[in-house]
Amino acid sequence: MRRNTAFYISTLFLLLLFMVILAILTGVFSQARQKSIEAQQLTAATELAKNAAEAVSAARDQAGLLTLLTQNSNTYIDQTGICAAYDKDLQPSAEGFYRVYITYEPEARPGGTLVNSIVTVKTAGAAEALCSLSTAVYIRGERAG
Amino acid sequence: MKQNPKQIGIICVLLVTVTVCLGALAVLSLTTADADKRLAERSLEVTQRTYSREQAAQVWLAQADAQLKNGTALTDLPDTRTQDGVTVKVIAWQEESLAIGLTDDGADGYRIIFWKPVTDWEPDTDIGTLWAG
Repeated sequence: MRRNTAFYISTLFLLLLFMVILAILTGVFSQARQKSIEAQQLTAATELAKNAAEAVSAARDQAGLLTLLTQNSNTYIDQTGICAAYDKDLQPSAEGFYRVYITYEPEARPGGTLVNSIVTVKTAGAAEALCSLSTAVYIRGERAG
Repeated sequence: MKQNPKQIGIICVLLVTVTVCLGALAVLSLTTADADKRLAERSLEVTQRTYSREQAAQVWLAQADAQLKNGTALTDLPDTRTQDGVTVKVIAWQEESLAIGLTDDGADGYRIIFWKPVTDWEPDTDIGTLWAG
């Protein structure tokens, strides 16, 4: 009887210890998953920001930039600038997971127009930006609108 | 009912093995995810620096074009040097620089000859303690 009790107590103790360790490991796995998602989103956001910055460099004006970015009705213009949406595979999509906000601020210069632009990438519905970068393009002899 | 003392030992060994394996996997996945995140952050930093440098260069280009329109010669632009007929401006931005080469293009103002990032790099000439032969 005493040996039986000792067996059950030690098994129970082992099981409890195993469950505590499992709980700790679940936390570690969950943290790893979270970091992995963050890394994936940051990489995607950087790619989207780069693409948008190159589109700003290539465009002659805001309408041209909108034309360059628009695919599958994924863009719209508001007071702050252009917003373009992309899905998780970085494909243009009207209800995309990633939102790229691009400001387009032309500034008249004696020889042409200097356009300053800030590109901000967020996930849909998020207040905090994943990444942001500023760029500029000088357009000679014209006025960009 | 008698219990064989070996039974608890087998359970114990099994649990320890499973725990060690899971622990190793957990640490590996955490370090991999952490490395991925640090790489993504580094990539973002480089991208931000590249476009900030590009912005500074474009602002300088606008200023240079304005001065050219006012009758200043390309070679008289401040903080530039002329090399083989090309006026070179180096825009330093943190650890990297951007070199812009311009030539006079008559009525059109300027022509961009090159626009390239420059990184100061010192080759490591120390060969360590290799056998000289």
